[in-house]
Amino acid sequence: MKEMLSVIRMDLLKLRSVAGAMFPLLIIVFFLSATLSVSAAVFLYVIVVYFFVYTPAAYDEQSKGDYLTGSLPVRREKLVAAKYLYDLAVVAGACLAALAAGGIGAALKLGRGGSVTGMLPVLILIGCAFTAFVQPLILGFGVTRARYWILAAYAFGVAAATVLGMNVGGTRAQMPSALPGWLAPLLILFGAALLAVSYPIARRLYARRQFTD
Amino acid sequence: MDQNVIEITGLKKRFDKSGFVLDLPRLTVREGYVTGFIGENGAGKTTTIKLVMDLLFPDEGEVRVFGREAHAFSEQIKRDLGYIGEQTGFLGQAKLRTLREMVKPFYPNWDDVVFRRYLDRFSLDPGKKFKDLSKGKQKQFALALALSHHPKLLLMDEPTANLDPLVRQELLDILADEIEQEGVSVFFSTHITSDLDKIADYILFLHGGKLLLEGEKDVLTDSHRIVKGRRELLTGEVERLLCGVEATEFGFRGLAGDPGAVHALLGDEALYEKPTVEDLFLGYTRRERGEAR
Repeated sequence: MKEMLSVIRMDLLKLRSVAGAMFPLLIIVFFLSATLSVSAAVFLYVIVVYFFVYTPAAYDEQSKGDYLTGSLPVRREKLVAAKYLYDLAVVAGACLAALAAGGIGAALKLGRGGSVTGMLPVLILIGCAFTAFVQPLILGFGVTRARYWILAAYAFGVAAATVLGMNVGGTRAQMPSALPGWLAPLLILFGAALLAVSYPIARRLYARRQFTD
Repeated sequence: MDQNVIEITGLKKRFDKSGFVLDLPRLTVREGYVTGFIGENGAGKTTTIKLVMDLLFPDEGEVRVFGREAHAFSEQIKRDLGYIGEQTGFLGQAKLRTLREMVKPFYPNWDDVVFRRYLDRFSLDPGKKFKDLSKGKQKQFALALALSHHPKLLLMDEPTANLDPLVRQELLDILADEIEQEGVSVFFSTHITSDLDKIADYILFLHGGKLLLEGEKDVLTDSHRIVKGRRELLTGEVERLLCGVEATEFGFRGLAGDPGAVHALLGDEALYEKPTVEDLFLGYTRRERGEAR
């Protein structure tokens, strides 16, 4: 457990080191989300998940970070577990950011109404699905080799957010205040199931990965 | 101190794309000594070190570090191992103090006093970003981190490459200090043979994925001689006793593995000089290439 927490801490420190480049963009996106519409908060969510999962990994690979990670006394399976825990923390943080943006917008009576809170299960599903697809690719093949698939996943996430914002409740950019009661836990369970399938795949891929570069 | 910190037996590693095969029936690194690993570019030095580090997996054979299998016990092994690769892997945007924060929690034996001592010795500012350091300073920082958790084995891949002579000498001095004070075993690869002359106790020559020559450096240099003489002295019989022969119309130069046999033929008409590590390496490598032709 200690090694896993050390890996997560290391990833957060890496994120802090590269955040300088991302921070202004995120601030702009946050305020745009707060002022435009609730569906824009969903876009904020997708961007936060993408940036915080993908960008530090990309910078790290640029610096050949696998050689540092590979030299540390931590087993590969613990490293994979730490990556997934980090991603879950990113999903949680992105949900909070989307909620905050939606809340600010609603409090200032900006945007077109709706509620991010009601769409939280959908956001969690999108985040889990993104992690479930992207993390095995990053761990198994590296960011550079998997970048087109990762971009495709991101594009799908944006498209899903667009469809949500336009079509849910039959009203453009309107969202229901809450999903039907039976649907919300199902969506979250489905997200968890995707991660449950993805995790052993990532473990197997990373256990077999050799660093030839 | 008579154990082997690294033992490789029956190792084979194939790379299908390039056709390169690393073939090491046996390779050992002695505890408490400096073992230098030399070979030309593409000889397999980095591949060997990556196999020890569990960054690559052997197709056949076994790699043991501290008596334990490198893959199964990689976590335990790496706690006592300091590694400086050709690529350090440090995030360029991170400050040195942040990199310390990243690495420190993984090592129970981490020693901040040692870390700060090396930062002072190398004049490294912990507030500076890693990418803003020169190549030499980056290597020095990597060494400071590697030594700060009191490793039993220091594994280095081309540690002095791209360093100026002053920085290179300082790095070698620090290694010598660490070996003397802490009893650290050192295994490093290089193609700068003069580094091995200065610091290595044992040397391993790698060529085309195979071990050409290995042994105690002083024994190897004492048991070989560079033979120089007039061109007419280079008979077929003499040439068979030499390797890496260079001949011009006026004279010849070659490496003798059995200087006594050469002296029996040439007597004092030839000159006999103690070889450097570079002479040994060039002689044996040229012989391999000559036989391949």
